[in-house]
Amino acid sequence: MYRGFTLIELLVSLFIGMALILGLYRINSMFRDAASKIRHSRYCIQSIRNCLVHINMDLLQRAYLLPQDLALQVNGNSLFIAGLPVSDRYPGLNVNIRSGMVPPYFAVVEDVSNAWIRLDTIDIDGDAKPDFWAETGIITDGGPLKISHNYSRGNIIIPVGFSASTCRAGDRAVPAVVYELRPKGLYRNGQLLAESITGFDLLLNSSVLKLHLRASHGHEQKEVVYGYRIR
Amino acid sequence: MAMNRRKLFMDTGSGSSGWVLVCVMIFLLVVQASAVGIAELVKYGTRSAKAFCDIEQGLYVEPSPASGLDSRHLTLGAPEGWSHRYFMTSIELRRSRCIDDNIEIKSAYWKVCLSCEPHREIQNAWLWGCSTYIIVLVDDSESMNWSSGAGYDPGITYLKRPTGEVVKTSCGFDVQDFVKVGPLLYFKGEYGNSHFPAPLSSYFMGAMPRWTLAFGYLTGIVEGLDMVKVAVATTSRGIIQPFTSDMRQVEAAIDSIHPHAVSSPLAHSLFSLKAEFKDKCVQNRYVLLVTDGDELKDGDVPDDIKDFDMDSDPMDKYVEGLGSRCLDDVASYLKSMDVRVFVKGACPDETFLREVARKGGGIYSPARQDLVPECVFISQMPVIYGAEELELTNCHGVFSPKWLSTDGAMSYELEGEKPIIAKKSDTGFSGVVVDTCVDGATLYCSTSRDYLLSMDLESKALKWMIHGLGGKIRALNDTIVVGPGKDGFVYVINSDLKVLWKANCALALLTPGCVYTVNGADIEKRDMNTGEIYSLFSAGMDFSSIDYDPFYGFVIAGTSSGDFYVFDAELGLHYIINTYSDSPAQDAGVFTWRKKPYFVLATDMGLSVNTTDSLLWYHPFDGCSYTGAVVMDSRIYLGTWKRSDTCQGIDAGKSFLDILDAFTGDKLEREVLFQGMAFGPVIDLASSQVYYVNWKGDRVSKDISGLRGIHYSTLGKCLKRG
Repeated sequence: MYRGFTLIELLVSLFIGMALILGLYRINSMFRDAASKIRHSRYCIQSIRNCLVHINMDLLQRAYLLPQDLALQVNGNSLFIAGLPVSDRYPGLNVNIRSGMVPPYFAVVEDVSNAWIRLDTIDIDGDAKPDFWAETGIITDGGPLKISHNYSRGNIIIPVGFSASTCRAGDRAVPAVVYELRPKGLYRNGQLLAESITGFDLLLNSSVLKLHLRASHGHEQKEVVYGYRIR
Repeated sequence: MAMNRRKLFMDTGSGSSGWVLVCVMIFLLVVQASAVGIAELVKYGTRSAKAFCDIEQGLYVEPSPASGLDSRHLTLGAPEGWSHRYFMTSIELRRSRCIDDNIEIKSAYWKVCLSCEPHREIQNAWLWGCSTYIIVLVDDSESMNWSSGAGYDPGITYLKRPTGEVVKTSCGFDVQDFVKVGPLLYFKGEYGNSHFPAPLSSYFMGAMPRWTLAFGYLTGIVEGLDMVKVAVATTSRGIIQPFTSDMRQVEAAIDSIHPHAVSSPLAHSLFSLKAEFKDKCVQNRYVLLVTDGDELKDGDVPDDIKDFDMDSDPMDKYVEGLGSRCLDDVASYLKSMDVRVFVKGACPDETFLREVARKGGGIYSPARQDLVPECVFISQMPVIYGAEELELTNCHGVFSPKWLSTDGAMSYELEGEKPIIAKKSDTGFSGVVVDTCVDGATLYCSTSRDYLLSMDLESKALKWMIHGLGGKIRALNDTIVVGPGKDGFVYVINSDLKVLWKANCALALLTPGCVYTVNGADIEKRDMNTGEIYSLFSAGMDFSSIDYDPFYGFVIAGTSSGDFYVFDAELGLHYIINTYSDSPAQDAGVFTWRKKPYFVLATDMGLSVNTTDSLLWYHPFDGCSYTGAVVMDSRIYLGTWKRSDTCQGIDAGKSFLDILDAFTGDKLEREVLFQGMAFGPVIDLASSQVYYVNWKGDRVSKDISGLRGIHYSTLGKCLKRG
C-alpha cells in the first residue's frame, strides 16, 4: 500500500532544496566575484604590461644616433627617453653622408626664456625633416623639457611645458619620448597609453632605471617594480 | 522481520544505486567546475608571466655576429673634441635579426679614425753630436791653370770662362766643336785637346788644366754634402765664405774663385785656418785642401811648426820660389790640434800630397761620405702603413732607410728656370729627409738638398726622384705641391711629373680644388692646374703660417705678430683672432665643441685656445719651441722643445709633453720626453697609443685607450618589426 509524504518529510525536503538552492546561489556569486576580481586584475596587468612593452621598446631604441649621456632623464613622474619613434610621417634619425653631419646628433640651445627655448636647428641629422614635435620631450644638458601642444613644427623657437630655466644657452638638446602620469592614466607623447595606471614612480641613477608602476581598476590594485639596467 | 519502506508519492524508478550515481555525478560536476576555474586562473597567470618574460628577454637583445645580416662603414668628419686636421669619424652600421621576435635590429657604433699623421717640416736637422765643420782651402795660384797631365774627355762639353779658367759644363745645347755665347766659349773635349791646351808645366803633359779637375771635384763633393757646415778659403784671399750649411752659398763662393794668384803659400794658408774653428760645439774639424801641391813663396810658418813632423826635410823652410815643403808639417800640426786635413790633388804626382793627407789624419781624394760622419739618425717621425712602422733614417747625411729599395728608380732633374722635369742618368740623391707626406700608398719625402722622392709603400721601392724640388710637401689625389725649396719657389706637379705651375712664395697650402700661396702680406687663391689667381687678400702684416680646416673649410693664416685671419674658401675674411702673444704665428688647428669651432693657435711664444670672439686661455712656452699640438677628446697633447743654451741641434736640449684641458688650459700632465727634439706624436689608434720619437729612435708612448672614441662606442639601436 502506498502512502504520501508526511508533513515532516515535505518540510525536510523543502529545507534541503532551499539549502541546495542557496548553496548554488552562493557558489554562483562566489564565482562571479572571482571572475570580476580576475577581470580587474587583468585590466591592471594589461595596463602595466602595455606600459612596459612601450617603455621597453623606447628604452631599447634610446638615443639612437644621439649622445648616449643624454639617453634618459626623469622629472618627477615624467620619464624622458631620447629618440623619436619612426612613423609614416617621420623616418626617424639616419646617418646622412651628404649633410656631412657627424653623429651623435644634437641641437644646441641658443636662447632660453621661461616659456620657450630657441635651438640652432630643428633638423639635427640634416635630412631636411624637422626632428622636434609637439607634445614630445626634449632632453638637454640642464634637464628635460616638454614641448607644448601649440608648437608648430619646423620652428626653431619651441614653447616648452616645464620651466626652461634649468637649461642654459649652449646646452645640447635632443628630441625625446616623454611618459607622464596624468589623472586619467599614463600618457606617451601626449597620448593616453594606459588608463589604469595610477602610480608611476621613477628612480634613475647612473646604471639603473627603477620603474614602480601601480595600476588600479575596480577595487583591484597591482604593482610592479621593474629595474632596467641602462649600462 | 519484513521491512516496511516508504516510497515517494510517485515512482522514480531508481533504486538505492541510482541515488548513489546521481550523487557521484553531482560531485564530479563540482570537481570539474573547480578544475576548469583553476585551469583558467593558471592559464591567465602563465600568459601574464610569459608576457613579462618576453619583455625581460627583449631588454637584452644584442645583435650577435651569427645573426648579423651585414654591416656598413661610413667615414665622416672629425668627432667633437678631436682635431679636424688629423681625425675623422668611422661609423659602423650593423644589421642583425632577433629571430624569435622577427625584429630587425640596426645598431650604430662610432670611433675615431686617422685622417693623417701630424707631420711637421723640420727645416734644420742639425746634430751637434755629429757636427762637422769643413774649410775648403782652394789653391788659386796661377799654376792651377797649367796642365794637369790629363787630356779633356772627348765626349764632354767644357766652358772657358772670360776669366780664363776651363770647367766642365752641361750647357743644355749641342756643341759640335765649339760655340761662343757672348763672352762664354763652349767646346767639346775632343776639340779642346787640340785647340785649347793648358800651358804645359815642366814635367806634365795633357791639355786639361788642373783647375778643371779641381773645380769638377769640388762641385761634385759640395753637391752631395749635408749635415756639415762649410767655409771656403783660398790661398791668396783667406776666408771668402764663412761657415754655412747652405751649400748654394758654398757653390757660389767656389764659383767666384779665379786661379790667377802669383803665389801659393799652402802651408801658411793651412796654418792660418786653425783659428777659424771658433765654435766650441764642433765635434769634427776638417780642412779639405784642393791644390796641385806646388808651394810658391811658402813656408812662412812659426819655426816650431816648420819641421813639426821631424822628418828633417831640408825644404821645411820658407822658399821664395817653388820648393818649400812645410805643408806636411802644418798638416801634422793641425792633426795634433784635432783638425784633420784631407787633400785632393789636381796633378798626377800625388806622392807628396798623399803624405800630407796621411800626416794630417785625413784621406787623399776623399769621397762625400768620408767628409760626412756616419751618424745614423732620424729627422722625421716614422710612417705607419698598415701594421708596419717605417723609420725614416738618415746615414752619412743622406736619407737612407734600410727598408727602401732604390733599384730601378727613375731620376729626374728640374731644368733651371724652365719648369720642365727632365730625365737624368744617375740615380743618386742627397740630403736628409725634412718633410714627408702620405697620399694613399705613396710616401713623398723631400730632402735638405732639394730632392723630392716618391716611394711605393706596398713594395717599399723608390719610384722616382726629382732634383730641384724641396721644402714642404702637400699631396692630394696625385697633385703634389712642394716648396718653397732653396730657390724660393713652390712647384705644383701632377702624377705625370709635369710642372703645372710655379710661384715665388713663402708658404703654400693645398686644399681640394685649389692652392693658396702666401707672399709677404698677400694671400692668393689659385687654380690648382693653371695657377691662375682667383682671389687675393692683403693684410697689413706678413703672414708666417697658413693652415686649412677640412671640417669648416676655413683657411687660417697667422701673421708675424701673432694674429690669425680666418677666411672662407674664397678668402672672405670671417674672423681676426688675436692671441696677444705678439710673436710669429706657427700653427693653427681647429676642433669642434657643441658645434662651435675652437681654434688652437700656436705662436713662437705660446699656445692659445680661442673661440671666434674671445681668448679662452693662453699657455706660454717659457723659452721652449713649439713642436706640435694635437687635440684628442678635448685634451691638447702639446709638444715643446727646450733648446740647449750651448750647443744647437735636434739632439740637444729637452723635449716635453704637456697634456692640457682644451677648455681651461689646466695642465693635466707634464712629462719630460727625452734628450733632444721630439718628433710626433705618431698616432697609432690600432694599439691605442701615441708616441714620440727622437733622433736616435728612442720613443715614449702614451696610452690613449681611455679616451672616448678610441674603441667603438655605441650610438644606440633602432628596431624594425617584420
